Amino acid sequence: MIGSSKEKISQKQLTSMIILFTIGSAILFIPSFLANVAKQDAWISAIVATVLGLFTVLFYSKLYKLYPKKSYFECATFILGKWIGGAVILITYIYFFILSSLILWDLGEFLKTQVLVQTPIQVILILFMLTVIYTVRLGIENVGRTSEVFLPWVLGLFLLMCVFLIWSLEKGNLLPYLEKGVMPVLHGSYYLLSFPYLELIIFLMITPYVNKETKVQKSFLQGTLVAGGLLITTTFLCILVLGADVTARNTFPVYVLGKMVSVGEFLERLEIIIAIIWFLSIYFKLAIVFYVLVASLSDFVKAKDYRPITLPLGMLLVVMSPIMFTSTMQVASFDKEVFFPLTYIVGFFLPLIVYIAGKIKHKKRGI
Amino acid sequence: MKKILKIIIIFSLLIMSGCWDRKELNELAILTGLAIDKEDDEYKVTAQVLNPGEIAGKAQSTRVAVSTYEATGKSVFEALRALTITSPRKLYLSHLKLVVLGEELATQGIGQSLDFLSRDHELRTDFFILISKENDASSILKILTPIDKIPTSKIFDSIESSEENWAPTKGVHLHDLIAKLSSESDNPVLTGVYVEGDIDFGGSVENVERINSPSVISLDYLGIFKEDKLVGWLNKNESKAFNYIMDNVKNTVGVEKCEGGNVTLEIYETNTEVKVVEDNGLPKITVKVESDVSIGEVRCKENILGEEKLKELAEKLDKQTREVLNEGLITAKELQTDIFGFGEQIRKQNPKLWNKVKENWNEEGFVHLDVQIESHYNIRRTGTIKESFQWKASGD
Repeated sequence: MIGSSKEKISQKQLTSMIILFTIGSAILFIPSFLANVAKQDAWISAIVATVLGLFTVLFYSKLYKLYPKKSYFECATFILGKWIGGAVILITYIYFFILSSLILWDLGEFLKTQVLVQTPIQVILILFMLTVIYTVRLGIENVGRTSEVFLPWVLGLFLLMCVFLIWSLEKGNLLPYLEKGVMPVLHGSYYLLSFPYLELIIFLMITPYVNKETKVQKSFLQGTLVAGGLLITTTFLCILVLGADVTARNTFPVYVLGKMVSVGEFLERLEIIIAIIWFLSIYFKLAIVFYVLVASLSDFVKAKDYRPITLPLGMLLVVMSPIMFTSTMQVASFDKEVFFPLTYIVGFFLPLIVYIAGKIKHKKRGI
Repeated sequence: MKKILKIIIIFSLLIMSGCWDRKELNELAILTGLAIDKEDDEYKVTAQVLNPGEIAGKAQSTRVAVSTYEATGKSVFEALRALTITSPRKLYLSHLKLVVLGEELATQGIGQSLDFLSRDHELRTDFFILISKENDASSILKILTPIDKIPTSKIFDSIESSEENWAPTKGVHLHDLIAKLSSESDNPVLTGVYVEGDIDFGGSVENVERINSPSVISLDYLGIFKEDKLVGWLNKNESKAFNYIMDNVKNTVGVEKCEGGNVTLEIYETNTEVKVVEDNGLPKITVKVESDVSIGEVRCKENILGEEKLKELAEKLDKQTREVLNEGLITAKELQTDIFGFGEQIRKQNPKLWNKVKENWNEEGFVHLDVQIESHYNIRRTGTIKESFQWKASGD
């Protein structure tokens, strides 16, 4: 177990953390990603990926059940030994670090292009990071409790948005189904499965805190199902309201979706609702990843408390994020060529190795 | 010490709220309309800006409610920034209601001037795009209008109300336009707008001081495009045909001859279905228009309200609609541009067939396309009276 062992998360809190994490930064980017490759079938991609996502988290909960009291990193060293396990941990840790910088960059990118155009990006990043650092210093239990408080807001606002959009739906946008065959749809699912479903591997680092072992699998499935539903609905709405072409061309199609709301000529300009949903979800995503980053690092150096390194690591992120990611185009190609394949390695292949080795170990001991 | 620090932090929250990108209202010039013309190789951008004191202020002077500024540049964006030389404040684009493109620019191609409109973060997407007919686009923004002090707001409302109640116009938003421009199976249309009367006079306050303004801005019918170039204008009937086929008609009127005069019908619900069938490897399209109408005005000698007579009337209407729709179709075929999105319908309903015929669609496939038009009218109501009083009078 990483961090402080006294902390406890309830099953409900874990579910809401998983939902917010999965929506995370994905909700703003995913419709565009999918529509780019799958065109008007983007929503089918989303459904396929979500089903695969459910299998993935089922696998994660099986992995968790091997050693419920151990975090993923501890599992890896325990099962694979110091060296191979260490390698697994190192790759995964680097991955988490890139992930957190990417989340921070996503936020900066959105604010810089859509809302606060003239504000220096550092100001946005520092303010946001400070909030995250503060939260993480209060402990993972706190993150869990806050997520429980904010989840109804996110879901409520999202529902509101959907209701307002009913007037602008055009079902003709969905036709024709599977115009270019199944491949583009699967290509879209490939993106969505890695971003965000395979990123859920990070929850194996905090599942040891959950107070009821038996409920973890339920949390995983419930959370993914709800968040997946939201992602599917969002993609579906984008295609229905904007059409595949506009969805693919915009960087933040969901934000454009918000701009389209017009009910009776007085209920307009609601795009900021989308921004609020997104701020909340991305805040939790970053808080969770950042907690794992600091807690596992302090664990590694056998420090008693992880709090002293929150500030330095946070500073590092604020600096690294603009250095690693310099432009919109660069991030797009980085995602495609480096990050998504890396996610498959870290989120699927490495855990698979750990799981298989763990099973063999169990068998040898005759359990 | 800690307490004091906390208090300071809380207080600073109160006084330091706000944001870096704040724009105070008194520093903004709120843009309501934008006209883009092409002059040689450069863009001439005309901006219509609100004069807030005249709109909301209590003591109103005789000064006009809006002002226009002009600038040229190599791109729309550059020209917009060049406006800061003449305009007193920086333009704020979020409240844009109207973009008027010059006819000359439209014939050369509108694609290049639209990129900025969809790329800039301040712009929303709920403005209408129009083509100025005959005059420069800039002249459209220089006419003062009665009732509504903001001319662009007048045009905006005109488009919305004529779209609701009068079939031949169509308000086009940026998204629709771009989607159609980038689709190989569809071509856009834009409503025309022109100035009736003297342009120079229209810009003076005198224009709105008279009960019957000499210069007014009027909507025209539809200008049709091939790819991004304006290739022609439709007349009233052809524009109506377009909107019928596209199922844009919400409410309109139709006039049909009868003995001794005519009868005007209010069409209050119409529904159009476009169906694609494959016939010998070629697409065949059926357009089915179904309308519910009520009688709006009767100027006939004889009683037309008998069941038989109404049936006859409905059949006449069917025939007339078929003719009108055909008229529009023929014009579009002559100009070789598929503005009805038949190609798009084929792609949606039968993608395999579309792949076979999509080559040179506008020039060949569309021109030779077999389109069957069916129309069916249901005369449902007769208004608040039944038989017309004219029949009694003439019967004596």
